[in-house]
Amino acid sequence: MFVEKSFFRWVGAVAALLLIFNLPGSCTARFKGIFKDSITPVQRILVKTSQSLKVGADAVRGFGGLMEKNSRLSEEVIYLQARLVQLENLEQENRHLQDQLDFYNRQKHTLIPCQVTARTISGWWQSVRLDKGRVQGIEANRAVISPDGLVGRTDEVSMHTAEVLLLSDPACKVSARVSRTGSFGLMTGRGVNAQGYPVARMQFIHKDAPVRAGDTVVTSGLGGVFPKDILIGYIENVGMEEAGLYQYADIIPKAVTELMDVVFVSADEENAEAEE
Amino acid sequence: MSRRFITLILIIGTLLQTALPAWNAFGVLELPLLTGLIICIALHTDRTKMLYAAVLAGLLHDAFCPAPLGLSIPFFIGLGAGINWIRDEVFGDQPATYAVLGAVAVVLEVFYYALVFKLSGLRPVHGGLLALRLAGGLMAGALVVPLVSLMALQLRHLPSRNRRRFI
Repeated sequence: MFVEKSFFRWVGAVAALLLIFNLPGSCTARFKGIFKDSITPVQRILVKTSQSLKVGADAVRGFGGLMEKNSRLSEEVIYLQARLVQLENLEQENRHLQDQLDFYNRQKHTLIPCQVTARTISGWWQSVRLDKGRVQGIEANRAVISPDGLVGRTDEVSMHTAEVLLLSDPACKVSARVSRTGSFGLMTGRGVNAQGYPVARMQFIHKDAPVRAGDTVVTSGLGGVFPKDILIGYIENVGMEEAGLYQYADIIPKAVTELMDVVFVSADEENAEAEE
Repeated sequence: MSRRFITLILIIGTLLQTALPAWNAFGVLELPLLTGLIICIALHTDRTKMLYAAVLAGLLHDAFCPAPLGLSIPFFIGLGAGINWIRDEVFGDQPATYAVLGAVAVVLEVFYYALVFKLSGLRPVHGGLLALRLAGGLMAGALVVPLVSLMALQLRHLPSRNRRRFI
């Protein structure tokens, strides 16, 4: 009898497993969404608690190190005087940039601010989860931006959460352009390097394009997902493909390396702009 | 361990695994909290509850990552069944047992996902990343799994202790 019971149990488990594997995509997404939505409130509390703890720990560290702080501050005065001269030059540059920012603000993109509540449970994926979803107007395949530049794109979206595939994920592909030379290419995520920093590679750059390390890479606006001219990162090194037809460039995706707690999701679809 | 307790600790484990930072230096290796809990559950419960825990852990794991639903269930079932099978041969309450089982389990987990991803083409798997994750998995398994298991066992005794105090 025991053998029979055990046998049926295992057959049941295998049948359940086969059923789960063969569920239609919409069912799977809904199932995952229920899990994520039900856990999001707890995750929000966890994020807020960890932020409060961090502030508390910083305050405690401040009381303990007053003497050390005093000597460091006097060193900082000398440093700041030198910086003041530098800043006067930067102020002029800033005015020019402000003009560009005003232009950017006049763009028609609607951005939805979201909080990063968690990262993916498995390190094989480079993704994070946001605290807003379909109810707040977020759709799949929308650009995710931070003040540092492009973060990635939305992937699975449930009622109250959205999964963001980071630029460093191999499944994230972006049509990119080197700002200085105007050379186009396709940027693909490459996970993390040996030092643990996220990396990406821009491929199919024209073999004669004079790209070099330190060049800025931005989105080209082609492809209908990402808005044009959003900073992706900086070129770390440049090489030639094996066949010698194209160049490639390894990129440090700035917004992913310095991922913030708050990011913005583009609410508009870029197709109309791309077609124009 | 009751089913309710198993569900609770697996949900807490999932929440913590998504909240705690991964080891970037070891190929973004996540802390193996769910694996640790499955080891603990397999050592302390019968086959039916182990099966329930393995399926739930697999579902929770896949719900919180972009992987297809059900991908992790065979690994957790295999791990649970294997440990359940040898549990009479090992000292179940020794931290060293958890450390050895944890190291082996996390290494097997890395191999399992690498194989599945390589065969299905879901993720690029290269030798360097695999070596990093294996080295990290060996350490993470040996360090994290004993802690997770001991904490789960302490939690299990908590309600009964409180009950006794109030009675």
